[in-house]
Amino acid sequence: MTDATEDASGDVTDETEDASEPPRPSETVEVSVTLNGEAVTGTVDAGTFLSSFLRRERYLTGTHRACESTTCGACTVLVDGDPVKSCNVLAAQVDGSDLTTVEGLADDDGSLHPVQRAFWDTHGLQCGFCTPGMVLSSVALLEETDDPSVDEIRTHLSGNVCRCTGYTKIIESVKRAAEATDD
Amino acid sequence: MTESERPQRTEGEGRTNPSGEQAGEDDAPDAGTGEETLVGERVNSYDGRRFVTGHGEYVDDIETPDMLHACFARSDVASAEIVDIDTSGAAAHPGVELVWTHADVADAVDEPFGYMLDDEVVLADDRVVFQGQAVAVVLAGSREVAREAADLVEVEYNTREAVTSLDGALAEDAPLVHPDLDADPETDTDGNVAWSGRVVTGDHEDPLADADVVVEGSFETNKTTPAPLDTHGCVAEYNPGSGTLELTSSTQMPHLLSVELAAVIEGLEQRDIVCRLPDVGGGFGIKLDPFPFEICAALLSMETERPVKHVLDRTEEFLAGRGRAPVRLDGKLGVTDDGDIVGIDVEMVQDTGAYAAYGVAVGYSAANCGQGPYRIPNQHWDTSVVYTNVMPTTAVRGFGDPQVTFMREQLVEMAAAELGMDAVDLRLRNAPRQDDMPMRSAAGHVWRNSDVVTCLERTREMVNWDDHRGGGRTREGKLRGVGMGTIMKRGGNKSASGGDFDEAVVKMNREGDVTVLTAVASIGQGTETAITQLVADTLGVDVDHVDAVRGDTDATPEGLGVWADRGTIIGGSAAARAAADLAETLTAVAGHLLDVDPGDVELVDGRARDATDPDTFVAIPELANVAMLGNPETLGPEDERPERLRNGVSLVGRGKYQSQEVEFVDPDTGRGNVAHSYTFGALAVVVDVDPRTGDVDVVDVAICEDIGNAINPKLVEGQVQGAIVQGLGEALFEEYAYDEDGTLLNGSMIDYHLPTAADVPLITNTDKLENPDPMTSHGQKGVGECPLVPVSAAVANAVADATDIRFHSLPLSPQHVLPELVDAGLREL
Repeated sequence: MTDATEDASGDVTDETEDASEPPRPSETVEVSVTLNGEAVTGTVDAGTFLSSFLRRERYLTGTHRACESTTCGACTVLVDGDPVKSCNVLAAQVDGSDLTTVEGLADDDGSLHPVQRAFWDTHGLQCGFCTPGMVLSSVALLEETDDPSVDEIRTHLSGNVCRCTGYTKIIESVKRAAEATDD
Repeated sequence: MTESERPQRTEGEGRTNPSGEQAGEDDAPDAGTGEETLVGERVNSYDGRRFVTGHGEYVDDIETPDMLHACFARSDVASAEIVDIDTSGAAAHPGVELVWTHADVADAVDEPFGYMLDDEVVLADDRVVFQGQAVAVVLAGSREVAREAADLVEVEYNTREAVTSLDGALAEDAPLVHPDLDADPETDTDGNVAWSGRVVTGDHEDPLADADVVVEGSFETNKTTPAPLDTHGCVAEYNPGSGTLELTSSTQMPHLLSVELAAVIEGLEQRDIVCRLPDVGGGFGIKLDPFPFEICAALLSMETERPVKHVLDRTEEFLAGRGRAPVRLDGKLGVTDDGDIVGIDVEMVQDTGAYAAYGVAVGYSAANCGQGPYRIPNQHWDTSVVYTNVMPTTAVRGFGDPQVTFMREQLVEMAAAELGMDAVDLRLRNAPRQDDMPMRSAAGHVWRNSDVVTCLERTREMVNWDDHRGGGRTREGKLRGVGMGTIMKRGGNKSASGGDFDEAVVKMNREGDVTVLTAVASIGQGTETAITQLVADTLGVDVDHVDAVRGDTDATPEGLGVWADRGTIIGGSAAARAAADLAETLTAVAGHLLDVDPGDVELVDGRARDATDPDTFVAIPELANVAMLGNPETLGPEDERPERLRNGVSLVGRGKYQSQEVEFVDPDTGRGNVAHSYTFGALAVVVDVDPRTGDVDVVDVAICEDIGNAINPKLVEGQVQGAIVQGLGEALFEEYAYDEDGTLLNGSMIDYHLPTAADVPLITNTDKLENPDPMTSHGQKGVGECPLVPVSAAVANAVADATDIRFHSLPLSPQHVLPELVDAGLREL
């Protein structure tokens, strides 16, 4: 992002020094979060969306973007345990929060989270693009409800679009994960 | 794939799921420990572990410090002359590297270009022909700056009247979308008609002559997008030292892309273009065309000698990503009093939008396959593909069959009603018999081995047809009905340049690990998983020890990409042959080591063993090591070895599968065997129509298809379920809505209703027959496109059963259904 503009003469000026302009909010912000269990601080342009922060500053490209209008859910991450569409939340808004992305679900030894395991085993995925968002939304649901009904799952996941699976195996994956978590 | 991206093989987390972990249903695998074949097993997706952990690498995930970002200024009008383009504001925007218009690229490309008809330009020249057409391209250090600058490109238009409907396009005084093509005697373009053709069989001049009853209707299908979540995009990187261009593109056909780009970009031959695949987050057909953004990214990288990325945003995808062609079908179907279908007479007009792209092939294929799974002796199909000033259409899952099926299957149920005959009985009466196969259909298809009769009977049973048929009321007061559609979908076909083939290489390292090199692309359909199963099965190794390198023109042998359900048929058969070639070497080495006739050596369970004495064996890793190192201490002196084991033992197998079956259609009659094989089936749906709101709720779906041998039933189910729901979206919700000026009114995911989990039923009532195709390596046929084909027809038939109203257009969304309920006096408040 640029932080300078050109005036009529073509010279580059720093607008913040122009006394005739109204005061402007600062152009960068410092963001401190717990990200997948790790304390992280970064300085970003104030307009940086959370999805961009994760993808570009933290190289966590498992957070996908497909509509950038909070419709498809591919960018879903957990903010303090709640599923949030990171394409339309500013990084600045989650300062102080505990964030979980898809990369943070598996154990350090590489063993999969039960929801990840269930999605893979049940084939609740095809092209994989919606998968991180679906998995995280499902993790959030199972945090709230041990044994969700099919209709609860359908409703809960209705903010996550999948173009490949037709949803049946996704719903079965969540059921299976619920059973696995139960044990 | 880099080392760090490879799936880790944590103990107990192989692709073949260890039992005891809530395996449930029939997901329990054989874990590669038994002697069962891997073919037909419910093996987990090859890519699944990377995907559930967020470690896929899609095109937008590729980022390097020296990367530049391209963004297009796109036309906001549908039809206009360009009076002036002022790029000065964009060029002066801080961070912008350069701004190009058509004049800057004209000398570098051979225009116009196109897949079958040359009707496209890279950037708009003197006119724009649809809203969203690329007019200028901006290159900057970041995507945001490029976007900001693209918005500063000022274009002055002299707006022309836009052609936005078939009637408008075919009117006598219609403005021409491509006046230059119309004027060019070298092209087939006539007015706004880009191409026309026909399919004729039997008494085509009077195909209904023998009919006792004729039903007819004029049907119109909707324009839709398959909307892959991962939009189109590419990264182009030109190396001035070698003169090669590397293009990593979200495409379905890397090899053909290199061929087609070489034809457009001056100075680059196919050998100069390396096409590679990122992970591709869905394709569904619309990632087949060579797109202007790919050409621009290549040229921009050649100019700047830096990597250039462009990924379409969702708005661009809706405006310029291409989709399914709407078709108007005026059809008549003739039957005898006994229920024999004697003829069909159809006039089909396909709105291809501003460019033909794959439209010509879609048009002739749809007409050629229009007879569906019926014996229809007398056929007459007139087809034309018409230009309009809206987004181009192209190949989309089903390739014209869903549109034609929407008409044909409604005519079939209308005919049954006229005859007082059950609609399934009418279908059964006219279906080809497996006993008569192989046979040629009237339109020229070679039907080798399919049992559509059983598909129809099972589907009827599974959906409780006889209980629902005739319509009724639910306890909630909704109108319930059942309807059917059928499938006769081609799998594999010649590309425009000819041929239907794939090559494959299977290689083994000294530890016995296997890599298969295939031209097949992965767009989520799972062909690579099937291929690893076929290869592992042939070589007797665990599927976890087989990796796949896909669609890389530098690394993999040639192949045509994924479309027409050809991946597992053609690419799978090629890989199986390559594995068999390597297996022959392995058995020769093992026979030599074990002092057994190589013909008696079998590769099973990680061993090469004597089939007559299973305790005599050599483990495959040891076998591979001995063969790779080739020392006389293990293999003996060269002159004492069998011929095959001298001068180095190659652990590379190769195979090619070249369909000898497929024909080009005859240009005069439109007849011909357009596909390698055909998948037959039937699908039925039960709908509830809400008389208060006009909502159509699909409450049950049943399908039975004859898909040949299922290589992986789990992935097959996923394809079937996904295709059906994609079809339900198109049947119930989706449509491109344009105003009279050709401006798209609903180009966002908020306004364009893609089905969500809350909109569709669970689809578990699926069944399959496995009558093998006799020509493919393992009897496989096409699967993935087929289940979409009958969906809209079945829904319309079910709504007709529920309401007695025949709907002739799509989608069956409340704003279209409710007024008809009002007219019929069925509306309730």
